[in-house]
Amino acid sequence: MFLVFLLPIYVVLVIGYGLIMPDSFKKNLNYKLGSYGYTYTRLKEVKEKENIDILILGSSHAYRGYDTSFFEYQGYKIMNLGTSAQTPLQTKLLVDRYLDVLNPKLVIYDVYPDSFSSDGLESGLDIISNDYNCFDSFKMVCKINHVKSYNLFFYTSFRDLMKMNSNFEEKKSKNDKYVKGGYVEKNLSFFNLKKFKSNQKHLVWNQKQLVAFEHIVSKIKGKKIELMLVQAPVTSVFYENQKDNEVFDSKMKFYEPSYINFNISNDLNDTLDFYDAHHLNKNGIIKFNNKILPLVLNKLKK
Amino acid sequence: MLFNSIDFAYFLPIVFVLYWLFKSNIKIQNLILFIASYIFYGWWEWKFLLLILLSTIIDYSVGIAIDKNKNIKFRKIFIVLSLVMNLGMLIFFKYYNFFIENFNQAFLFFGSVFSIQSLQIILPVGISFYTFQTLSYSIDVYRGNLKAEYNFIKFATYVSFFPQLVAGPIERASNLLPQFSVKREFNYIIAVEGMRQILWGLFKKMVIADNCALYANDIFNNSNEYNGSTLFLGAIFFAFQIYGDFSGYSDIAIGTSKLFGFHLMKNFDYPYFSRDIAEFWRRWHISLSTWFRDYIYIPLGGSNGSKLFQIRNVFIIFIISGFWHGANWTFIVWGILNALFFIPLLISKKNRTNIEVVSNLSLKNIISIFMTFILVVLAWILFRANDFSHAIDIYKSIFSNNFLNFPSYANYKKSYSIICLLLFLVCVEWLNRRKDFGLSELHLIVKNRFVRWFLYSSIIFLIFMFMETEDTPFIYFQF
Repeated sequence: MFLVFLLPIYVVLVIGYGLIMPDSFKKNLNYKLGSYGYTYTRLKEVKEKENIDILILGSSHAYRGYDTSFFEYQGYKIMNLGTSAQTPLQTKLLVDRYLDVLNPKLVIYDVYPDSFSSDGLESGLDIISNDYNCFDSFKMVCKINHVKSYNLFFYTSFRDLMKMNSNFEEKKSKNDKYVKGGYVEKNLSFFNLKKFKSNQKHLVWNQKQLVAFEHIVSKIKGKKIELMLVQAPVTSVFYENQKDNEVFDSKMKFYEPSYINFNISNDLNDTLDFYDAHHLNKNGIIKFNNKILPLVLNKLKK
Repeated sequence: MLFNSIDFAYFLPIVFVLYWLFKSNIKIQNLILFIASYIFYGWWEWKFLLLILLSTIIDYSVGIAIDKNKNIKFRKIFIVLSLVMNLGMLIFFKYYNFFIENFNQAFLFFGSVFSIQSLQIILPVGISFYTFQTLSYSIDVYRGNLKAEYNFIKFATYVSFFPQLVAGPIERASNLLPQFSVKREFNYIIAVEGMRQILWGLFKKMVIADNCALYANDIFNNSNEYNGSTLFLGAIFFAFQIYGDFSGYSDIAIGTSKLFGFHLMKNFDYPYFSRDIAEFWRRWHISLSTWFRDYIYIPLGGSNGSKLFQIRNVFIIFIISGFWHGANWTFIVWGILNALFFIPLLISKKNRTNIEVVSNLSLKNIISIFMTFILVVLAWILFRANDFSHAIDIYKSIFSNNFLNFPSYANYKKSYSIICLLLFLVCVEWLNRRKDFGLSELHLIVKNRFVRWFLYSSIIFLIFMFMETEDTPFIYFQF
């Protein structure tokens, strides 16, 4: 009996507490509307799009690495749906939610090893805060299975219900500029190699992420949409820091034989072409996007 | 297995249901508890089950041997055997490296290069607790205060009883062992009380201790960056961390035992409301303090004899108590410091002035409680410091001019929430200071069931809102 009583009371307490208390008192309720990386603006823009040519999925490597204006200049309708630390659990949610309406000809899915070992909490919170919530979001929350994700889901569902975010406008960041289509452009800066701390780690596959990834790939292929599985370039020090790169590559090739890892025979410079260990700066993006363009054209011709 | 883990959340209901399914068969119930206790301990490292089993077999055999032998000489041999085996295991696993390192340093001091290799030894969780528990059994049988237990399962379950196996309370055989022979009846009221105590224990551990730990760890680990007042603040956070952690564990242990129809001794009796150090030590880790009292202090002569004799005994007890906590000089000096705080009370015969719990908040009581708390916090610095020189540096900083500066702690705004939670803890415990635990009589104060459930839900909510999401073992596991 008490357990039946507990759940609704708990939800009410989370909502009430979330509305009243200051952020410093909300240790396990991390609500951030308009968070780092323009997720809110991007997810607002995607709702206005349909029948595009290219859809980009992935983490910050995606929304900071694929310049939508560059592809639009080539004449393609594009949407970059990358979000911070996005893992397959979140990609699955976004694909299930937006793929049918966007109806792209090509999906570029940017993958990297960390996203397959992560629990997906960070990105999960980002998407729960900045997009609407439904049963699919709840399924993702259950997969993440973390107290922070449950608390946030209850709280944001209430905010959705009350339409509390309808007048919200995301603040512009000092160093980042949102570009139509979902790309985030950073002011030119360079990576200081001395700041890099080596911390070698093995790849540990999270089975929940693998299941979600398989779902994404089969859904895209099932709809006869061209899929480009890509690993965007990171600095060589960062890449070498990741153990089991070959294992990861072979796994990705198993799902999509045309998978390309741009870190192999990477001619980018760690300092001049990156602003931190694993994000390209403007110089690097121009080089990388020019390199990927012919491959995109080739896929779109098919 | 940790009490504050998902594993335990599955484990406890399964054992509970199985246990009460066989309520008419005490033998099966004991067997279930025995198996559950070994699973509980083996979850961490199954190899160390052999150590518990060895300790159990030794004291089980020694108990029977003493019981059967009326010859004093033989009885002595057997009790010495128990002492040597139990303390031998404890010394090897806990103190071997400490002695070797100090031995080597002593040789080095005298110019010798002779050195003995230290060993990579993993300290078995809870060894100090179950060793003391088994020792007390053998000593009690030897003294004739207790009949030896002939049923191995009963005895083994007493030694390994999972609620209190790894961090106490250190139960006397005279209290716990007979309970394995008595038919247990499920009592709904006691079971609910047990649940309430578990809830309060989880709140103290997961909300108070784990959050205080964040600030205490940060301040102690970066002590050279902070001024004296901030370091003292860190020590206060540690004081609440260790209280929440250890008394929280005890509450969960006692509450869990109630679910199975067992009664364990009280281990904490609102120690931070003590008005002097003697009262503090009567209220802090009671099961250990009384163990030392009964098996070391009184045999040494206790408070009989000259003042000098009494002072000697107090020093011995506090030094042993310090050393029991860990193989480090900081713990020994922590014990000595507490003895130094205690001795003025002993000399002035005021060590038994405050027996009953504080009745009101008179100015005198407030000042006494405050001063005692300050002394305890100052002593905890030794307990928490990485080594002796680290503690000295912290003391130097606290007892310097920069203590007068406002705490410089960069994250102090974030600590407002934990300060509010600490105030909540102190208020609840103050209002219940005559009761067994913080929520013990909530059902009598709040008659309406739904209001009461709302209060329970609110505490569960606070736990989920403030819990740490990484594994946070209990501090006393290391002892």
